[in-house]
Amino acid sequence: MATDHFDDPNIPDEERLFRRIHLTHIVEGDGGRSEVSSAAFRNTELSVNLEAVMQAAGRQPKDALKDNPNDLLMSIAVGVCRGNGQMVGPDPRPEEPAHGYVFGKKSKSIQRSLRDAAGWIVPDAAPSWEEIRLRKEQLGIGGKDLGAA
Amino acid sequence: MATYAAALPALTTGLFCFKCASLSLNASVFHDRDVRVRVTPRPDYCRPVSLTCEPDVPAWLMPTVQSFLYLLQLPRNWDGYGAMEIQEQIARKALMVLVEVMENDAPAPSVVPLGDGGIQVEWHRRGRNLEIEFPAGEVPGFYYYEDGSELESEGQVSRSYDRIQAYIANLK
Repeated sequence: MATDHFDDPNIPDEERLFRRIHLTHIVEGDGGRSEVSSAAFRNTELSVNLEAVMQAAGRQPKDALKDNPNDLLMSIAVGVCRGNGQMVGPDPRPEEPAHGYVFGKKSKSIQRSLRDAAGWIVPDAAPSWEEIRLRKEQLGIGGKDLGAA
Repeated sequence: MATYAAALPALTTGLFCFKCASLSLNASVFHDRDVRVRVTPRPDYCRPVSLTCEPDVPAWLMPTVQSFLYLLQLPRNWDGYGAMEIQEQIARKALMVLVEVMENDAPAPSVVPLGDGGIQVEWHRRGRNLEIEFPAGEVPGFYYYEDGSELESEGQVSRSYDRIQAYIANLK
């Protein structure tokens, strides 16, 4: 975990950040849709992968899932994070040189803003709740659809 | 407000006494409250009649408890981002709050883990969204908003039972 967080001006607003989404953070929404929980964007130090660093290494976005193949993947623009009062910076790690952070206190409203602004990478469109429910069932995640009736 | 709240401490103690507990409810934890007794006639040679106690358990309770039990089995770093293990006392607290604010016919919430070891329960129904967060080391809070609207509301759970009850009632 980084200790000296700063907003890196070398990371442009247009750059995408990739955030893995654990299946427990996808819940049932309205009308057969799935919903990403705001809890997926809650951490004060939110770990992400920096697109430019991955590109420079010849890595595709989905490579962010290499160690967590059951997760899904979303992206969010750096400018959206900054617009919500967050700092974005690099935090390379031996196991993930493209690791970075979105640092800052995240109110419920900010968690929701980040969640709503995030776009799907893997899969390339929002999965239905039925798809998620089946996948959870296959992986033994959460018993019967983690509580939602 | 649910009328079986008095039985909850016993219920939660039994359910969370060990993390991988098989899910079973002992009717005795409901004491004499809200227990319906069904008399099943038996053939004469089988006297006396059998008595089956059926506690009046709301439909949302069992799937919610199942979800809590699942979360309590998550290992440290369950998300690959360094998440903490879910804290048992937070699960117990969350369940007690739900029993206080949920009517018997309320829809079951989705239950999600928090990276700090806490729990969040949430509903997304009919364009209405309610999240109740039970973080580690902080007071529980709620957040309500409606799709396509600027309306949003948040606050501490302990000061807002009436509002939370109303929000949940509107989710049906």
